[in-house]
Amino acid sequence: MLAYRSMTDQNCSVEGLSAMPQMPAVSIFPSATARLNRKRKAEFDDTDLIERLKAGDEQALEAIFNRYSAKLYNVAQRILGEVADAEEVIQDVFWTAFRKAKSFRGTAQFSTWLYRLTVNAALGKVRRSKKNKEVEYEDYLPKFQQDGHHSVRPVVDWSDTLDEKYAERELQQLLKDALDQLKPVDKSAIVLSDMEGMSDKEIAVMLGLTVSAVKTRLHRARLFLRGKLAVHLGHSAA
Amino acid sequence: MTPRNAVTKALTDKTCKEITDLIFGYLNDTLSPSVRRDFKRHLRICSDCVNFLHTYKKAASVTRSIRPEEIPLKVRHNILDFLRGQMRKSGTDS
Repeated sequence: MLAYRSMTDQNCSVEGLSAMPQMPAVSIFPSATARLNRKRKAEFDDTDLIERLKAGDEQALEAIFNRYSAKLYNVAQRILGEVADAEEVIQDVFWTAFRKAKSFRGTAQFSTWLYRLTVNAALGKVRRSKKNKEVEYEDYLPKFQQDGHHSVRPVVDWSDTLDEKYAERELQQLLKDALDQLKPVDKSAIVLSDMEGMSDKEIAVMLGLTVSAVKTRLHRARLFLRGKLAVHLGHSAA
Repeated sequence: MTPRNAVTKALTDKTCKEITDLIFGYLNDTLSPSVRRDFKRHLRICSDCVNFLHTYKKAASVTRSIRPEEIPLKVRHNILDFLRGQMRKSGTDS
């Protein structure tokens, strides 16, 4: 897993900041350690704001809004797909944070708490709406013969042609459309993992799943996204 | 096709389907050393799985490159106005 993904929540205390152990460089995501450092610094910076928020300081809420609204909005918008829905969710999240700040005990990171509020609110909203664009995954997943070999051969390596065939803007749109077709929980897992850089463990806590279930969902979602790209390029998803 | 399958089966216990199931663990470095060895041994003789792995990695890397949705200025103002209003109200109520 990511270098920082193997960290446990207990290791993420502010006190541990200066004595942070060096993580082994086994990750396929090279900036994971840097992300962890940034995250820990943010936690440290949050402490004062949280205390002020608990005391009902309105300026503290605005400071927290300025710090987290862009990231939380991205998560909500990606899950919901509609600006108005994302606005409503973010509004509720920050108001809830203000009202319930006193009940925040610091057992979880403050940012985790905010993300969790956002994801839960967004998933609740998407479940209640009828606007879901999700499709059956089966058509875009790899297929195999009875003996376990790929059913369509040869499997084409289109990894180098993707950037040549599509302009960046087109590719972004293509990916956005494909993401919108994922099941909401899978989409949330992809957004939290690939766009927010969260660990499987953190995602599991947010989505109320086991770590193993998160891995399964991430893998299946990536297979689906791969299949969508393959089909767009004129190849078989299988 | 048949000879290749026979060679594949002879050299490794893993099928392409099993290899596909292991990709996530392989890329995240969570496979046990023996499974990782089997995985790599299969890749050495199966160009289909090599190509599949390349395209899987590509899909994952382009997904990570999706630009974040920026919060529109109007939305930002709307939310801040709402929060200020609510805080004022709650201050008056208490």
